[in-house]
Amino acid sequence: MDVKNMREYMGWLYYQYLLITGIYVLEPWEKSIFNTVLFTMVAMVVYTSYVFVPIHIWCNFETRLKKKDKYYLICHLPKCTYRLLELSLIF
Amino acid sequence: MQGVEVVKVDDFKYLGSTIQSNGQCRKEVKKRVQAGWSGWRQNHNVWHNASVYNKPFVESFEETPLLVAVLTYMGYGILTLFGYLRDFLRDWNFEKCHVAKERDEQKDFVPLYQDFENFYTRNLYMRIRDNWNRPICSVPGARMDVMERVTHDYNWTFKHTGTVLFDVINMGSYNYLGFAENSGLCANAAVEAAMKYGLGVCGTRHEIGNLDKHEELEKLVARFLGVESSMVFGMGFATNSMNIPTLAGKGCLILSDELNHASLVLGARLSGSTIRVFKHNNMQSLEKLLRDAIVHGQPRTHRPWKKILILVEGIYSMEGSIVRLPEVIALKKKYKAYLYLDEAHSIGALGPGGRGVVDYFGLDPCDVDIMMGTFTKSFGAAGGYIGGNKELIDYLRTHSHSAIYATSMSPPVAQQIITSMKCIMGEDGTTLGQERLCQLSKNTTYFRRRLQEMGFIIYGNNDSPVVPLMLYMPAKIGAFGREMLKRNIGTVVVGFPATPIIESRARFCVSAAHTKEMLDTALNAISEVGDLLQLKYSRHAWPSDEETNHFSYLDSHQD
Repeated sequence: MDVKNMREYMGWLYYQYLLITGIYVLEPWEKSIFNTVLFTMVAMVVYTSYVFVPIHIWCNFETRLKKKDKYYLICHLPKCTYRLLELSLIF
Repeated sequence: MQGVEVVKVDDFKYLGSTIQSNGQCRKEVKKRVQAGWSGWRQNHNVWHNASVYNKPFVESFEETPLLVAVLTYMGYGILTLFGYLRDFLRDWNFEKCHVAKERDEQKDFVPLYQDFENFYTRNLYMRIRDNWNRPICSVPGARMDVMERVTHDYNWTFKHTGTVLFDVINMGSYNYLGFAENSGLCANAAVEAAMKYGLGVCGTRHEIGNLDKHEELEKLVARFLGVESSMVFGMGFATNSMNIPTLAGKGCLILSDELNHASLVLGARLSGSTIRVFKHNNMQSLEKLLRDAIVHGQPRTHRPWKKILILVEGIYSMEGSIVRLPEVIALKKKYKAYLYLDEAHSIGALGPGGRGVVDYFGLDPCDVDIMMGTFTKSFGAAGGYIGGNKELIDYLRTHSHSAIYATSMSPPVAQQIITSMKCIMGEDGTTLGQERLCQLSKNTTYFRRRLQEMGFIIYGNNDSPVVPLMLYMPAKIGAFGREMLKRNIGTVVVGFPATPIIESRARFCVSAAHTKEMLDTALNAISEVGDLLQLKYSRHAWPSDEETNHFSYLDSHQD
């Protein structure tokens, strides 16, 4: 019975998602488009965080440990990432 | 809740009978009102705000929770994007266009259909259109029969399946006293009138359309309201829009409430006067406008205004709020303005005698210069009336557009009003009217209290039979209407442009014809749907019945 309750609960959650985003009123093909786009964006965010978050955490830790002030001496990340990091340091 | 406290009344003679009282209780008031309105007056000290109210004025307009507001805007944003997508597809002929478009030959002309104005209608309203214009096939009493419809092209066209949903609980009709019935005293009297006079009048009031029924009705309405004289019109909307231009013109100033009905706004605009709007039910805003008007006069010439007319309504149907009439009258007297009170929803529904918002506050009807109302809501008929001084009404009889050009009221409708009004006044020999008034008051208090306890956000005054329940999100508007109909309850949901864009609501109209069982069924269904749709936004823990009295006179509980 737990599986049935779980399925019902997931159905209810999906219904809430439809209501809050306003998709409930759209036609099925529009719902599919929105779900696809949203799922793609979420998948990209998850992938990026899976690949890059651990290495950034390690690099930050190492920079502070070795008391170096330049991030790129420890890590081997693409150049554009350093530009972005420099910008973020200003703020 | 404490009863109506009436201050000491002097002796006076009126219509040959002397009435003397000192500190009446509610029962005494009921007895006097049942005997027929004899114009008993009260002396109020109107100099200080706190003493003009003789009972607590409790209203609440809880603020929109921030998260809900953000999500609502997000929902509207997503729907707008999809609207643009659909418009693009329609424009480039990828899909069939159901709306009116110009022909190819007319493409170079000035555009006929303003695309952006109809954007909302095409892309948002159409998708949930099945919640409105539902065809009913019975009398709209406490229960009604709704015809079932299906749509195969997403609400652009409807087909009737042939099935009828029987005994749907009606929470949407303005049937406050339950006079929308097809059997009983009123219906029989109306049938007799139809047999005698026929159904059409075939003329205007000026030209052989003036029946003795109309004269009888006008005298009765004047007696009901406690004014000198009154005039009735065939249509409630037309009463406002055709008579305000008669009363005000160029060089006059109209001060109109922010949330006034479209008929008042139309009438004010047609009159050609200067219109200034004050914040809803806000006496400081009104006083500021009055002072500015009197100090500065007309815009360029600085001459004094010919007259200043304040337009307010008794109950505002989208908010459920009651006008702060004692303060408005105090301001009107101080600054010598005229007051036009539109009691479309409050006549018959408020007050111990059902005489409207003037009776509810225990004020003198002579203080309101023009009392207007409609017969659509509490009397189960159609049409409107204006009551006031004899000079005013005589002027309206000769100069009103409605009297000259509009067809007068149909005889069975006039008879329905006469019978129902006599019933409310208690003159037909039964206590049916008084019972219905008490039932309505009990139903209103019970319904509002239960909804607030459940945790919904309810707007308005605790005594108003119009109960708006906030929905906020656009998808929930459609979902609420449909889910309630599945549970056999007919409700009215309202969105933009009748309300501000994020404050969409479901509006319930409590009726005296609803029994407690019906209200309980409806409340259980509303709670169920509220849990399903997550509508219980309120962040208050509402106290139980006995403790609601801790608001003092002017404390309108606004968060």
